[in-house]
Amino acid sequence: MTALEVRGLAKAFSRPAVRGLDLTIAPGEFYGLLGPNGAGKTTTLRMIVGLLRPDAGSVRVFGVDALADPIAAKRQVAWLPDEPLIYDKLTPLEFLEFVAGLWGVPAADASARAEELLHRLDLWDHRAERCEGFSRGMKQKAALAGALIHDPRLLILDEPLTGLDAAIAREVKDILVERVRAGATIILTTHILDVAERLVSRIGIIQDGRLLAEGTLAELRGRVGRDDSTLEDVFLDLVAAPANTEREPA
Amino acid sequence: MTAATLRPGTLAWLLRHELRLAARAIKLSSPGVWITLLAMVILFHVLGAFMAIGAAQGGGADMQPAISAMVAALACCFMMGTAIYRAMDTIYARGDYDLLLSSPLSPAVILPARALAVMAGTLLFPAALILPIANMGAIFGHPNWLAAYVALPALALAVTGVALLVALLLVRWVGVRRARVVGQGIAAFTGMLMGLAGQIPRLLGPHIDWMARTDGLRHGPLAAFVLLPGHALLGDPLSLAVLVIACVSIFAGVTARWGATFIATASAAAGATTAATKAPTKAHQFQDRLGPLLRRKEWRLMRRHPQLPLLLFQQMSGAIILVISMQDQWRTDPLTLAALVVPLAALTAGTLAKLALADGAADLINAAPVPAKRLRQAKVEAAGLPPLAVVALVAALAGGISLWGTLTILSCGIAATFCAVVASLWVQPVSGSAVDQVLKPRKGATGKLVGRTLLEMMMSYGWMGATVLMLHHNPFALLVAGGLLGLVAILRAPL
Repeated sequence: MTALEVRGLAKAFSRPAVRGLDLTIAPGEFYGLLGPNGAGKTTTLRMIVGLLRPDAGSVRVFGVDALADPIAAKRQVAWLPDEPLIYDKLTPLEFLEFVAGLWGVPAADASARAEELLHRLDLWDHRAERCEGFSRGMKQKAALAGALIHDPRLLILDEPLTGLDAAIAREVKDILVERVRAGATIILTTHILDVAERLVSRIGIIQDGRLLAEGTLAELRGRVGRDDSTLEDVFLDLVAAPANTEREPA
Repeated sequence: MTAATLRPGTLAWLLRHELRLAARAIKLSSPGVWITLLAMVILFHVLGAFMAIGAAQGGGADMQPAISAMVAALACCFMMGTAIYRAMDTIYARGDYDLLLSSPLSPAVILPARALAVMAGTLLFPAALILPIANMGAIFGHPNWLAAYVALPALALAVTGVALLVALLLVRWVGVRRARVVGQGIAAFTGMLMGLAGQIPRLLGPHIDWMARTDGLRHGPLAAFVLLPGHALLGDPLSLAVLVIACVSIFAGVTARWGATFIATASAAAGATTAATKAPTKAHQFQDRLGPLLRRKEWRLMRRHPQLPLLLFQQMSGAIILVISMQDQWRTDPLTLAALVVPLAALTAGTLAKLALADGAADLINAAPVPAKRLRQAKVEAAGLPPLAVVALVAALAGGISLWGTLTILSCGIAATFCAVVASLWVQPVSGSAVDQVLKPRKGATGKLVGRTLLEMMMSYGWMGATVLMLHHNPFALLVAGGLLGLVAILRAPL
């Protein structure tokens, strides 16, 4: 069974944002979805987590049809967008209690996990303060704790390191790698290509709503014919190519 | 000099920027807004004609300065409430001080420009009411009444200066965290004074000889000072000159003396939290039953919303005015007073629903494995239950007078609360990126906001009417109640 299977996904607003996208991600995979601004990454992720209804196509999360049974699919997914999704007027503990409740985590488990996450993310001393006084990085950490508290099987992260200082960014990266080792699947978008290069096991590059290329870093290097190049070089080579390039297996 | 050629960095240039932002917030470019404004101008002039004729004939020439001074006092009351509210808003809501202060713009320009924008917004409503009377007065033989075009903005200038000072002192005295709520309370109370002023004769008794009572004020040693705004509004050149000089001096004095302090305070307060930082005293008990959890979260957010005290205070102030004006009736029939809980519950439920329905993290709850209907139901419960608890309490107390009273207040309270929540659901979808979106609607949504507010007030006080009729066994109550429920059915709220 795949962790995520997307087939023919399409969405148009004033113009097409996603055009017949196919993705297959295996359980335990750390997948990086990269692309220039406006490529359709966030729209794709929002359709996967059930925030947008696709115009066409299908989404299956661990075998569950996310369009036919969105509640069952959502139970297995956590979503962390670039803008932290938290309530400014709640404290981190109140926020985590609420999120855990939404995902049906028993109170005792939620309390223990909240304490562990807040300690890990260096928010424990701020647990009784309302989030409105937090810096952007602290808000992002509280949102990440919310995404992790229900121990999701599929974690979808849109620019999760934005606004974090180096130490916390390292901590977050360590947490994500641990989650993958524990069997979770992660899909991550980022514009920091060094991060993607070091963290993810497979990369999909999307442009104009289409998957331009997909594979491991080595496979992508092979595709552009530069074996010693960085992901940044590969990425820039690929997105600079004609937009109507058909998807080819790397 | 045209708007396009204003020299960048000048007061006029920055003022144009401020007014442009204000105009875009109310979508002045829309033809619908202009048509509505034109209709209101015509309507106010028709009303103004009647008032001008009445004012010119009533009380004789001796009373005209006193009446005008009272009009000026009422306008100042209203403007003070608005100006304090806007001044607090200027301190807390505007996030562009960093941009302005980091630019080579002179700080001496920033506050006057912002203060003039506050003044323009403050003046709008009183001007719309008073200037048509002045126009019609001029047509009916009193061209000197056109002095209101100078006197009213002058008063607005002075009021704005005082309001800025009040806002600044509040931040200093009660702290950044509490100043906003206190300021909003003062603003609402000052605005309410205008409503209460109309009830003074009722409060003091109907048989007082007002001519005799105010004789000392009109002819005593303070008469020149008390009646100065009245004389100025009526076009007395000396009074007008004194008023303009005094008002401009107040405004200029405040902006010059306190300008830098105000800007520094606003800059510091822009990112300030309204929450107290306190050490946790006991372990947080997690709740995992979904219904109570959702309601508790809504109640926490409602309780902590900075606008809630103001909104509730405004509703209470309306009720206070109603209580005073109906005192003859409720002294003989206390159940009529108890019926007041019905519109209050409905209006409070509507307010709470507005706060609950615009969710600060809508994507989070929409991504959760909980049906949207269940989430919305929790919001409705959170908005409706507290007012209904008050209704139940009042209905129980009414039981001491009659069982019919208990049943009537309870049933009408439930129906009115239901209608108010439905009205909020009808116009406000669950999605939204910020709670403030409801209170400060996006571009073009102002018309909906006005419509919603009027609809809610009409329905809420309509239910009070139905309650009073029902308490008196008047069958017309069923017609009113049926009409209100029918209206809700027509709205077809997406429950």
